[in-house]
Amino acid sequence: MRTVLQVLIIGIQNGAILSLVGLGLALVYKATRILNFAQGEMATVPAFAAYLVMTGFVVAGDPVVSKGRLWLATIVAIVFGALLGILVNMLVIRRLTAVSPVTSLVATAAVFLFFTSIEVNRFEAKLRRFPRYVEGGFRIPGVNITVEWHTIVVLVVLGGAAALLALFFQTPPGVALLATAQEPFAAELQGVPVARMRSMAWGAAGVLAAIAGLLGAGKFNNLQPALVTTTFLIPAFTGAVLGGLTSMVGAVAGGLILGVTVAAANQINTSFSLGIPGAPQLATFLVLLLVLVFRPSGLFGQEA
Amino acid sequence: MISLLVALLLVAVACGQKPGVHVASSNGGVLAGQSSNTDTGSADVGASTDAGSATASGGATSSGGTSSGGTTTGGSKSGATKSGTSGGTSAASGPVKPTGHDRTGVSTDKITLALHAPVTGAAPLPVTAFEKERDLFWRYLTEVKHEKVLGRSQVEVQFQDDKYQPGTAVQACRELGASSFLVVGGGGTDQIQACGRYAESAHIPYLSAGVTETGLTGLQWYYSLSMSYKQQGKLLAQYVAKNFAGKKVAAVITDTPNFDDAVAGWEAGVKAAGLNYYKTLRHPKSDTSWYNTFANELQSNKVDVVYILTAPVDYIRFAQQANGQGFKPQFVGVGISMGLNAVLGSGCPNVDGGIFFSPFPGLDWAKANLPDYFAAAQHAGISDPDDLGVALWGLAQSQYEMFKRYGATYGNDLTREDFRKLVETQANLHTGVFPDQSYTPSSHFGSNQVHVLKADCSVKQYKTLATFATGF
Repeated sequence: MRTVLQVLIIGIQNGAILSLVGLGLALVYKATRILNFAQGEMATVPAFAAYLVMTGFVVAGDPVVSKGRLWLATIVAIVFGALLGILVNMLVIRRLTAVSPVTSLVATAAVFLFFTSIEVNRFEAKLRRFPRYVEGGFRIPGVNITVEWHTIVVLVVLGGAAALLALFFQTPPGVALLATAQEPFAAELQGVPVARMRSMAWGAAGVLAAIAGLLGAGKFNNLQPALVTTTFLIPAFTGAVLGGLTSMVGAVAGGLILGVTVAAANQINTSFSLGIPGAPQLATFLVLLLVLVFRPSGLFGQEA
Repeated sequence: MISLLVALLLVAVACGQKPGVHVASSNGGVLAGQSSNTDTGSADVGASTDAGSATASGGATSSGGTSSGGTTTGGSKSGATKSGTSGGTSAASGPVKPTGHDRTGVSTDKITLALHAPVTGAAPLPVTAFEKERDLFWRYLTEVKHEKVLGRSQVEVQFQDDKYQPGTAVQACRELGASSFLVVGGGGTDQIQACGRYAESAHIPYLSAGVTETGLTGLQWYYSLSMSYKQQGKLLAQYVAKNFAGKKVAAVITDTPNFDDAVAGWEAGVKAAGLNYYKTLRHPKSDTSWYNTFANELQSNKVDVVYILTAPVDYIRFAQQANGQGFKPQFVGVGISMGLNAVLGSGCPNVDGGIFFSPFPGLDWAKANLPDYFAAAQHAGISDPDDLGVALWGLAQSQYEMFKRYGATYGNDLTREDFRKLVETQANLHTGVFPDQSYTPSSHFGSNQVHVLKADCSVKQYKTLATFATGF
């Protein structure tokens, strides 16, 4: 029982950030039908913006990171993230509305590469210290593991964001956004400002990404170029598919389920010295396969 | 009379100068422009080494039990015994005529060398150090000391980032090898192994600090400049037994085939040293889900000492997550990049006290023992010389020692084939930075010494505990 609880706690700690990144992926997909592989860098770039605020725009060497400016840096990062999302839509995505989904996907990958190269050029390919909002944690009696306060912060943010978004899509603007994604021409005929709706969706995705970047960097107390893409994006995407790319709740659940699955695989492989190479990845794809065979749209996925 | 003179002239022209005369003259001539890639080195492909043999450094045993050099500092060296290799240090009389034809990267006035290393990817190495310091040694030699290298006044060092990926590393080595005399692998086991095998197929001399022996044993064009991980594993077990007697020990190692020999060497060392051993945990490469699980597993089983062999980023994250769980083991290990101060910049305070073997001493030792390095840095306008620069300096010194031996044997006519043939007969290549190297035709793993570094987070630098150690 203790081991099960440990696996659950570790899994949720790992899966929480995945859910946050997956939520952004699901939002973009639900609103625009685009798989956004730039979501990771839309998270990392605002995190670097926050880093600059906290170091007083000092980049060289090992600058002192002022945790006192963390909240100011957070506001800057969120605003920056929203603007970044809108910019990506205006400069890249909007120009590709008539192309195939694969082309749009490749375009977002190009955006990821572009941002990564800027990060490496400006900040070098090295780890930089990044603070958490709340340090430390607490122990659950009888379970030999610490629950980090940082994880609680992520879960609270995650729950709030998922609930808000789920409610939003029940409101008239939310329905209009869905209509824009499904039938943009018909939506426009109904008076829906399609371009503005898409910008709103990308702006919201940018906000979510910025928050994911701040919390993702805080998880390891380190920020580096392409952090969110290389560390969280692919598992987050897998989790979002598992939960359902068109469901906000599904994206959250998928990330958490994935985190627990991977933790369980690691625990079993380690405790029993099975020596199975790539056990976490194997478990992930087995679960994904099982879910998609019986629920091709994911656990909670459905059309509007 | 005139007819006779003309006839004599015609005869002289027809006969011409005998081939090689200009080379056989004192210090040889430089055959400019002859940079063909003809394949002539294969004649020397001989017996393969024992797979996984622990004897290296030209036949000397890799660890001599207790050794006076085990805990000393300040540049003392021991244990680099002279093996019964042939060739010694120089030819008996006058230069020998080179028989090779491949002079890639060699011109009348310049030798071009190359270096690849993981700058982006899983190893947080600052790119500026490679950019600024990759050729510092050579510039100091030629511009400040006004020395020539095999008659050339310029040595250029090209560099490419291999992105910590074997495929990218091979591509980098291919591009670098097309215009450089030799290629050096700066770090990253999989990348070095991949490049080493490519260099073998392309007949390019390839040097690196010691990493895996898998896939590199028996290669004729590869030279290891320090002990392999497998060799160091046994030494590390001795160190742990001596300094952490009675403690429970475990290992966390990336699950890649190129670390299998390191695991084997370590576990053999554990057995020989009689350590209280829990187990070896292997984690998938490029996976970030294992930190808490492994930390919890080790903590639950009361492990005190952890041998960690992973990418530096994984080490930093694992230490951070373990600390968050209240698990603060003594980290020990081997590995080229783990002992760099850059790791402490972002890893502290979680990696404080970590002890690692390294092919190069720390910056603190260099300040006391390597004045030329700091003079060179000052001359080059480098305000913050670092330990990565010391490593690059040591790598260059090793190459310089090889070139000096080459010059004493063959003169200035530098060919890849002859360089390769010569190095594998050399003993006691001493640089005073990297461990002493001795090679034989059957073993290109040329060292039996390590430096020992300990992380000091109060100054975010590794302190040098021991240099040129052969046992503990």
